[in-house]
Amino acid sequence: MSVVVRNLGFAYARLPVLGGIEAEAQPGRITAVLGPNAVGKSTLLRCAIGLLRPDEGDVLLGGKLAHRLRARELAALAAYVPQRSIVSAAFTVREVVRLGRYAVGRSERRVEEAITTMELTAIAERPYPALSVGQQQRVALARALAQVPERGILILDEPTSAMDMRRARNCFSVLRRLADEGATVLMAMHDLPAAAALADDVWLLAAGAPGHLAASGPVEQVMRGDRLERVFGVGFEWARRGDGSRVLLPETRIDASSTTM
Amino acid sequence: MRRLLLTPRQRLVALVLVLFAFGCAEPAGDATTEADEIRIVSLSPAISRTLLDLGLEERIVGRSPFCDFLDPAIPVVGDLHGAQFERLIELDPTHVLVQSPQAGIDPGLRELADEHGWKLAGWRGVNTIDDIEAMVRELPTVLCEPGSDELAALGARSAELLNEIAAALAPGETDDQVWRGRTLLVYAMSPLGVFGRGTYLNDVLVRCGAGNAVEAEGWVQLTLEDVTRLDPGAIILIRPGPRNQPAEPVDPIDAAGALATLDIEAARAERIAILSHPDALMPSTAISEVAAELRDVLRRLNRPSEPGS
Amino acid sequence: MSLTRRQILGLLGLLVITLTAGGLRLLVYRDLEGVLTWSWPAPEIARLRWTAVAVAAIAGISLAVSGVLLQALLRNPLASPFILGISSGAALGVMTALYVAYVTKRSWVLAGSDTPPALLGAMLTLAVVYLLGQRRGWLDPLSLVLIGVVVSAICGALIMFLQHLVPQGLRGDLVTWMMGHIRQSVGAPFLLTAGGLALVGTIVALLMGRAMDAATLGDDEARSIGLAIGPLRLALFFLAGVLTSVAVALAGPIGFVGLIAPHAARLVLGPRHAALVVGAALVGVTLLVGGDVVSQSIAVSGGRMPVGVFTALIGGPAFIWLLRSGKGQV
Repeated sequence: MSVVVRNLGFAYARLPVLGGIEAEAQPGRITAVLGPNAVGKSTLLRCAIGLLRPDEGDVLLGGKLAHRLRARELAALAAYVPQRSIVSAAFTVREVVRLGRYAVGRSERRVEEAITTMELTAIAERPYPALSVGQQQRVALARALAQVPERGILILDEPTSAMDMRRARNCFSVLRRLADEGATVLMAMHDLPAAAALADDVWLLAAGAPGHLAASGPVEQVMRGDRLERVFGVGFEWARRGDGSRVLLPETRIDASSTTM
Repeated sequence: MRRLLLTPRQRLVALVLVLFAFGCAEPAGDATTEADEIRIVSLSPAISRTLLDLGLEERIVGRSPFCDFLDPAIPVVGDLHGAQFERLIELDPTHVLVQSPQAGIDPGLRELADEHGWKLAGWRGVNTIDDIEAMVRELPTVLCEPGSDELAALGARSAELLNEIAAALAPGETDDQVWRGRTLLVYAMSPLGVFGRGTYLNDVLVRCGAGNAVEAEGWVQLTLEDVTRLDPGAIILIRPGPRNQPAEPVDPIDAAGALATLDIEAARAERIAILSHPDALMPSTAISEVAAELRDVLRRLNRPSEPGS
Repeated sequence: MSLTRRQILGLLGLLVITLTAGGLRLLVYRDLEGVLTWSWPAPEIARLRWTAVAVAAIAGISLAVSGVLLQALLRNPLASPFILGISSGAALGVMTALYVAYVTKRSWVLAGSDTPPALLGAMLTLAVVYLLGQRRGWLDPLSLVLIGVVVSAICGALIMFLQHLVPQGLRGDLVTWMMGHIRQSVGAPFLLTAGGLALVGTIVALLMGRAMDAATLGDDEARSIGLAIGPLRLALFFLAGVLTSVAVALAGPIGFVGLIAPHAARLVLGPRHAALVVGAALVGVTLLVGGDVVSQSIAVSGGRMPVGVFTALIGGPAFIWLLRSGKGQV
């Protein structure tokens, strides 16, 4: 199932945030949404999952208008992980993960699988509010894993921002596996080298009034050093490692004069 | 150096303020009243009622909003929880009479009275007939200079009033016709409030020859279970009825609500009545009227009990 | 609903405590001289005590369940049935009735006549808060709390204004009403209606347990897992409002039961809402029936300790303890 964004425009209380976005995230691929702070990445994702109603254009989730979907229909198509997942009750980790099955039928098997996948078994009975932010992010991801249908859509808003390197890589490999199995993964990210290493496609958002799409398409076409420098104000270059793989590298060491713009 | 700069608009405002200040500063004129004439502000309806009965209504220059039996032209100044000080200063009374709450008289009022030379007098906890009589007895000396003609006149009127009260409470020749059993005097329904011993209505009830079903002192709260166990022979609902117009007829059984459904003698015999008097809940000289009313009610209650009728 | 062993034991424990409180209320009596007696009462007195137990139980269940619903609706552990201004609205209704009775010279509060104005005031307030507490067409927790507080304050001001216009004696009537009062006699139709509403409300709340669990997630996440959060909020709001109105009309605005009962139940049963609804209902009954027992047994000048004073005296410190000990998690 694909996520198709058609001429999307959105404004918060007449303050334009996004305009003229045309893009598509395809099944079997990981699509990274990149862009500087406050450019509208989260807004784009919330429009994509039908939580916000676009002022212009629309979003199709698996061919259906996202904002017209009933909550239950939405849950059966796509799972969503926000930047910071709030649970205003002292539920245990397992109970929070179980919430993922709220509208899609109970399945303890899926819950346990998600807990194992996200390496949460040891803390499964701990109350959610007592966890660190990184642990909470893993719980939120596990909740989404328990929910997302086969070949479904996963929409993630910086799901690994507070995780340590190893956990983040573990999450990425889980997402890779899901995509390989046919899922559509749409994920906002800040870590450009990680995005370059993980994603198949990129939607690159650039600041402006409103924020707009600077480019979209396969990673190597979109993430060109000069374009990234224009959008982020930081220089990047692609390098080839000994094993022949290509990696995105930021500018060299940071010193006091590194402040740009 | 700072200079005072004013825009034309600010100047206009300043001018208006200055004129206003002068206007306020202008003396309001000397008090036109004669020095020896007493001018009373009464902040309590019970005191006002007593003043009225003492023939002093003309001397009342300020009242509480609840003294609705007084001439409505008399300005309202406040009640025992708060007087309007500006209004008081304007009225410039010679006496301010209050029925002070338990916490005592407002210190601000006391200060103001000292400052302006008003005589401030208060009666605290007027509960029993003795308290009412004491108030009637003391009022003339509070209001008049010792040895003055006015004191003599007022003292005579006060004595008359005391006689009236005594007469109203004295056993009458028809007392053998009144209900003399244990009676509940109800002033509030939910929760149930009744007059206990040491209240003016208890005194009236006892002097009329009946007995109070409640032994406890003061204004007592009861549960329906208490009432069932007390098993009063009669219930009188005390109701501050309308002034200057007959009370609308109410079926006492209806008014008694849950009380009438209890398994008690008063309910079985339907010995339930309403005492309706505008000043029934006010311990004042109106007690003589209330006493007459109560005697009337007790006479009506005195019929042979006919269970099941 | 699958219950853990701890939850089953907890519910049983609460049930035993609740029944004990009810039993005590049926047996204990302190006469006007202050002598406490324990005995099974004669039928005509038993009737009064059963009524008191029923009134306290219905009010306790309504307040406690309403507290659970509102804490879920507002995602706020401090939410109580009165945060929406319902009790102030009911009080304003009662005060208005007192005032009207005073100016029309019918100043006599007949037995039970404070029920219709209380109910009317509560329901009107609910409607006002509902109309003003929306954003983008749906109820918004923050708006609801703010509007509730402001509506409460406005009702409070109107009450004071009306109080200013009536004599001392009538002011006392409102104060007594505000303290809450477990009646021993209520018309059968009203008692049955209130009881029926409390029962239906509890069952509906129980059925909404999983939805309330899901609603502990943020709005976006809750919707993404398939919860229709707008309709849920509407249901929580009106169910809580009706239950609170029933309780207030029946027994006056008895404070702290709706706040403390959900927390106490959470301490024993954990955060899952289905168990919480039942547990809080039991705690609510215990608090009010138990409160009535204490109120019946403690003499204060001229009467008995008002039950609202007891619940506040117990509930206040208990709540502070919960906050300080960190056990009172949402």
